[in-house]
Formats: sequence, C-alpha cells, structure tokens
Amino acid sequence: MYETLLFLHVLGAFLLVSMLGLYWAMYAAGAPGWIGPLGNVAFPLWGLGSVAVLVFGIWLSFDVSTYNPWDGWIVIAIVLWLVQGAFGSKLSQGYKNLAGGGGARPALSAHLIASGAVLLLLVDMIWKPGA
Amino acid sequence: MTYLLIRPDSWNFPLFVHVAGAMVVTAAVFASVAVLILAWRATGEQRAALTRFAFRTLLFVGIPAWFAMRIGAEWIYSKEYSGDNDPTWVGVGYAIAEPSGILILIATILTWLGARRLRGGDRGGGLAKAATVLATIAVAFFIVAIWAMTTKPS
Repeated sequence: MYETLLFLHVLGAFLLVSMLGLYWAMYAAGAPGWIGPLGNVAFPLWGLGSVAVLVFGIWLSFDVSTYNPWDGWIVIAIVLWLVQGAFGSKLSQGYKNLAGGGGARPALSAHLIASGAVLLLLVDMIWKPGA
Repeated sequence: MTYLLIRPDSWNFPLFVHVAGAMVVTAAVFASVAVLILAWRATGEQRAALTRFAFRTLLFVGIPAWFAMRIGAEWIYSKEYSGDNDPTWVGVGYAIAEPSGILILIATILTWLGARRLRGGDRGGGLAKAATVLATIAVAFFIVAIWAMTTKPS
C-alpha cells in the first residue's frame, strides 16, 4: 500500500511540475494563438496533479505509522500547497481569459511564486524539517 | 516499513538534485511534446515558430535538467551503494536514464533541423513529427522510472 500511495503522490507531483512548465511555455511564447490549445491540456492536468499530490500525501501521512498529518513538515507542505494552488488558479484563470480574447498575460510574479512554492515543497519533502 | 523512510542527512542534497532535475526534464519534454503536437496542426511561419520553441525548450531546459538528474543519481548512488548487489530498481533506473537522454538528444537535433527547414519554406514537418514521437517515448520512460524509484521492486 505504501509503495502505491508514494507512486501516485510522486506521479501527481511530476504532473503538477509539468503543467507549471506548460504555464511557463505559455508565458514565454507570448502568442495568444498558442494559449487556447496548450491551456486545454494544462488547466485540467494541473488540477489533477494538485489534487493527487494533496490526497495521496495526506493518505500517506495516515498510512505511515511514524507520520502524522499535524507534523510540522506536513503542515508546512499543506501551506505551500495552498500557495501554489492559489497562484496556479490565478495562472489558469488568467490564461483562460487571454485565450478568450480578454485580459492581459498573467504576471511573471504569479509564475515565480507558484514555481517557488513547488520548489520549497520539494525541499520540505526531502529534508522533512522536524521529522 | 520505517527503515525505508529514514536516510542520513548527507543524502538529502544529492537526492534533491536528482529529483529536481528529473521533474524539470520531465516538464521540459512534456511541454515540448505539447508544443510539437500543436505545430502539426499549424501552417507556415507559426509552424516554424512552434517547432523552434520546442527546440529551445529541449536544448536550454531539457538537456541541462537531464544532466542534473543524472549527476544527482550518480552522486546519491555513490553514497548509498558500493556497486555490488544493486537492487532491481537501481538497474531499472540505469536502463532508462541513458536511453532517455539519447532520445532527448535526437529529438533536439530533429527539432533544430525541422525548424530550420520550415523557416526556409522547405518541408521539415516530418522531422518535427519524428521528434514528437521520440520525446513522447522519453516521457513514457520517465513514468516507468518514477514507478521504479517509488515502488522499488526488488
């Protein structure tokens, strides 16, 4: 059970990072004509990756006897997940508006904050401060 | 179970380099595949621009991240194993790492050639399509690697 949950948790993380990569591609491309088709891939898969990371991560914290959902490093991870979720949603909404012909390209800062939160999540998962 | 979850602190940074590199190379190759598929349906200058974008993504993000993944892997391997009695999942990692790097390298060259030909008005769509197939196979390899690294079949 542990191995399966870890696989799904990590696969979700790779999916999430890959979709952030697509958001960066949309930002770098800067061509509204590309954003609709790329967005059709990125928006649902970013959501799927985000949910998979959280659900299987919390499930793991219950499955592994040495972990608890209230451990400091897991609480930090949930906060970072919320940050990436908020800014990732902002990116999704911004690119949807842009593909629909309205609004401006989402800010560079939103890309940096979402990506920075995911990078810190990886640091937190590997070092597990306080565990 | 607990023994699987504890590792010395000195392993953390090499593991971070390995996993971060793997995540970025996967993201870069996935983004390239998505852009190249988009290029299949495009025409003229837009097709050339999309192929060029995929080429730059593979060259400037994908290949450096592959090296980070591979260097991190070798670094943590040197700390964790002596070279004797490697478990199966380490063998799976080795079996996937080099072929995926070769696939990315060939896909990068094909997208470069394809973009050049498309820009000159020549036919280069076939090269870009071949690059798409190779990059897609690389993504499939990465999924197998994630499975092997997390489930650690013995």
